[in-house]
Amino acid sequence: MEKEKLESLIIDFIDGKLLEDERKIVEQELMRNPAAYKLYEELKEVMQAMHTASRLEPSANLKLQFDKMLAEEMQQQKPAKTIFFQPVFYRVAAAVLLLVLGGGVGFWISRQQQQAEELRAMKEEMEKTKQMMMGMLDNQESASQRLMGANVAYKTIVKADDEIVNALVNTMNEDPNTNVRMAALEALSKFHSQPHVRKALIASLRTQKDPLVQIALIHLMIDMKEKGITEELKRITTDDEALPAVKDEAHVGLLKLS
Amino acid sequence: MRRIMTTITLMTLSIGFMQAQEYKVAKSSGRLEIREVNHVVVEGYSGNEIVFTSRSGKRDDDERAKGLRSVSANGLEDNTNLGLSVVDKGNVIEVQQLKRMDGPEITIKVPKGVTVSYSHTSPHGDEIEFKNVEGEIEVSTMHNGVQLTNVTGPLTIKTVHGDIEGTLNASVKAPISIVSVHGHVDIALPTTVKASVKLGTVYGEIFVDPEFKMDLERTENNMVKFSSDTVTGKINGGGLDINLSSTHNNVYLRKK
Repeated sequence: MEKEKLESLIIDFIDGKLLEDERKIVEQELMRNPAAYKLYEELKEVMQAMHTASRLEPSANLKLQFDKMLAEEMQQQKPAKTIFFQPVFYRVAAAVLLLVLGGGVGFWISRQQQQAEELRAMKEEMEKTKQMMMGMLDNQESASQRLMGANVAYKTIVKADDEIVNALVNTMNEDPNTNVRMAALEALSKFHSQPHVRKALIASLRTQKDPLVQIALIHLMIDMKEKGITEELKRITTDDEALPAVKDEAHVGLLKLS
Repeated sequence: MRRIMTTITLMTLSIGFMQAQEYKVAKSSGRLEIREVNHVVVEGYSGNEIVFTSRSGKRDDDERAKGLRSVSANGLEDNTNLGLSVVDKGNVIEVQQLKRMDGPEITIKVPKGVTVSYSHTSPHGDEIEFKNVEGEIEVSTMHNGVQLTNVTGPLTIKTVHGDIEGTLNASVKAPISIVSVHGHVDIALPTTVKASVKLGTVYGEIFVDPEFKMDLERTENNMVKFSSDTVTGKINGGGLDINLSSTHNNVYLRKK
């Protein structure tokens, strides 16, 4: 008899589900075949175990332990709840922080913009002053306006750009009015540390015909300790056109500078 | 009685004729440029024409010259009968005298809005005088002094050898720049004027009336700023730019 068929037959036999003739066949087989009997024995044991297992009740101890475990688990879940709350707090904090940060950044940007605005306003103001000054220096009608222009340059302009310097140099060398020339020279003397201003001042000494400006220029050069003008001073001391007072200053300059 | 009346009338008339030696230009603005005129007094007044009058009287009259026109080597024409050439160039009126030396004594009355520019280089002539002028004055002389009486400015005055003396009006206008090389600069100013003054000399001295409360210019560290030859300070808190300087002589700032 095939093993599988026998097995199922034996299982049915154990369960008592077989018909009369089938039960007889199985009994005969069990009597005759020790291997079948052994299989019957094993199967019976397994099936009995299965039966007892299906009826297995959890022990009181097990239940107690389980309850305990459950309680513990529930206990552990309480702190878990607070853990759940904390991220909310953090989120609020983060939101507030973000708001403050955003506000701060916004404020900073606006301040930056304000500063830029102020800077631009200042620049505009400077540009205006400059234009006003240039306009005044250019006023051919009134010497006092030109004088005021030079005074504005002297008082308000901190660092002169080329345009301003050129306008002032032009005024110093070409203006028909001595007082205006002197004022332009004074304004330029404020910027004498700028190399091109220095150069323009030295160059002016060569062409300047106005005795007052000549004297003022020589004085300025002495103050600046400009040694490069000694040749020019020598020329002035022998210049027939130069006023005695200018020659005197040139001599003083030569004494002080060399 | 009647005879006396007629004589008086005649006398006044003749005086009137003598004073009628005048020339007028209808201008109440612009520039009056006086060049190389030796004897000039400029007076401010509230009219609207520039009036030239001669103070020389009949002295210069020449019977022989009657009906002739005076011309000069420098191409000028006596269009005023005062020995003066007055040329109206629109915004600028140029005044020159025909004679190279000496020349007529001229009084010029100028309205308020006229800028007066006076330039003079020859060694001839007198001080130039300005009285009650309420406009801008520009003076540049080589030898002649400058006398200012009750003027308002703005003033730009320069002379090489001349002295500059003057009194400024209470309604003084900036800028005031008065410089001389060899002459002294002596200016009287009302004590109430708010001014930023700069007084300079190289070889002279500077004198200021003690009634002027002068705050000397200070550095950032609140130290008085000294320079070799200039005193810079503020009167009554500062304001109008006033610059007085003489290279070889003294500078005086006195109260009016």
